[in-house]
Amino acid sequence: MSRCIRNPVHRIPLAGRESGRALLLGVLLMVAVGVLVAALANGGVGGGLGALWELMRGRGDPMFARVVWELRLPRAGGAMAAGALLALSGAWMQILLRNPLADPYVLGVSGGAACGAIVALSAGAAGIGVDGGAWLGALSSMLLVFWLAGGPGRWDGGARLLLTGVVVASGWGAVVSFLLYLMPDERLRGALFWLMGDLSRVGDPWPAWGVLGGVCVLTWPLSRSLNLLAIGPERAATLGVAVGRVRWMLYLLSSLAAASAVALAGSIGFIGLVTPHLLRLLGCTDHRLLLPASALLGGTLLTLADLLARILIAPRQMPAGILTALLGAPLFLWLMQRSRR
Amino acid sequence: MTPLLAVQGLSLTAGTRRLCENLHWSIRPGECWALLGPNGAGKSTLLHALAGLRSVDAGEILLQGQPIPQWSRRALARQVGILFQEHAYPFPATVLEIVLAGRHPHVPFWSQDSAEDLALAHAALRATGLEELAARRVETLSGGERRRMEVATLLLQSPRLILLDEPTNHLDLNHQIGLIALWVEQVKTRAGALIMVVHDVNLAARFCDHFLFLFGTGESRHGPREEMLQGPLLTRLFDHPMLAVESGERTWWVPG
Repeated sequence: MSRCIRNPVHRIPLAGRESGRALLLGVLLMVAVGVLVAALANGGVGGGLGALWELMRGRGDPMFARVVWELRLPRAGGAMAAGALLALSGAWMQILLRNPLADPYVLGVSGGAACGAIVALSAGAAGIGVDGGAWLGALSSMLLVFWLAGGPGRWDGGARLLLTGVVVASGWGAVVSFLLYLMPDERLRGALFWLMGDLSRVGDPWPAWGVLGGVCVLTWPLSRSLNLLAIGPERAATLGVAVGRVRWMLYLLSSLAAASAVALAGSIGFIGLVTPHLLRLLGCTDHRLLLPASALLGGTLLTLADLLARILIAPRQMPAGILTALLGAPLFLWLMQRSRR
Repeated sequence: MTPLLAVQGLSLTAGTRRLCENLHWSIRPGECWALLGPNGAGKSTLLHALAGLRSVDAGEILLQGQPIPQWSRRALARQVGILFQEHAYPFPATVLEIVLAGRHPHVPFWSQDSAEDLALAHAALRATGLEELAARRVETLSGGERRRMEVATLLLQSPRLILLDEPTNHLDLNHQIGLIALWVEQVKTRAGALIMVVHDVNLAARFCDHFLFLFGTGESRHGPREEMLQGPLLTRLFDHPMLAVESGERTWWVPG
């Protein structure tokens, strides 16, 4: 495959071939499982693969069992779900706005979520209260942008929606800064961690898995239409796609996915923007393959980032959001350089 | 014979400019039409309105007796297809993927493209001389190859009414003639119809039996070839003297 990537004119991308599709998904699935196992086996209180194997056979240390099942599993499961939701949301928004630079944050969804979460934190809420605040903030921001942009009928290639989202997002940014400024010092640290994307607060990741399953089921019949929409809305319309209806669906699905991810994991950048592009650089251009592959790779990247965030400076931990960009930026730039040569 | 397409009292405007006013026009099966006019006269806008991409300011467009807005997108895509003038591709895709999009209206919503659809796509690639390029990325194609890829997509869509917006753009001479001849043959065998926007009067005269002129003022005229290709009328249309040169059985139009 490396030869194919080096020679952009004559390459026959691996992922473009029928046998390549199954292979790519298989490899991504194996990597995802591997990273998940590593995330369960490693951490601050130690462990390792051997201890995890003993535990699987029902003979482990009960203390270690509690750490794995009650702390590490929900956290790794949360990272997997949030990463998958962010990557899917990014892929959808890029098609919706017909702009390869779009990501879940550009439409103001995360700004609204951050605002909701900070309001909840200022009020002294914790746990479910913060999640709920983020959810409400994300959804109200989404409705606000949607209302201001005037619905998909008036979207001229997404420019109006994009501008509305960017402006609303910067408005939320100012509100968040103001709230942080007013916040008492003892709560400030928690709020800042939330803004950096911290998975240590994940309590119950299973609602997010429910949302992930739901959006996957809803998007599967649409993915052939998405291939056409990526070519262009006018071409798609003349080839039989009900463009207005599909765009509404995309807007709702991508906002819902982003809101769930942000409520679960805080503001985590980069996964939504970079994951679909990494796959496109690998030759994965058909959305019937790109969407499931994005979900797998996005979940894997965030789980890996969170694992590293837990063990790199152990016994201390850092927010995973710091590492997603630290890992993602060089990886992306390296792939882009290779594909240009 | 009932018309394939009937335009009744159609008016189109762009901003404050009148493109066409109160146009009554009908297209019968088997007819090939050329759309001529100066830049900005509304030729592309009219094509887009016929494809259902644009609302009209007044009047109605009926396809097989039914107004265009009442057609579902899928059903309409099986009847009407358009070759756009220019197109940008913001996302990477392979030539085969783009061409396969032409099968979209024929493949049921809940199923995926079959081996038969793939075979049809390869046949369309062969017809446009692109077989070798099936796996190539669209961003590595030249302008002419990209144009042929779009032609192949429309061949695969195989609509009854074919709308072509400057089909000869970017194409070599052999492909210009060959591809238009292919469309015309399709129209005759399937009792379809073709409407193309062109700038070359002689190319249009070779393939089209009917002409519609848009003057850029809202005024339009249409009719059979012999009636429309007259020196004074062409001179007024292009705002430049047009002379007829007789050569054997054919008449060539040259700018004076």
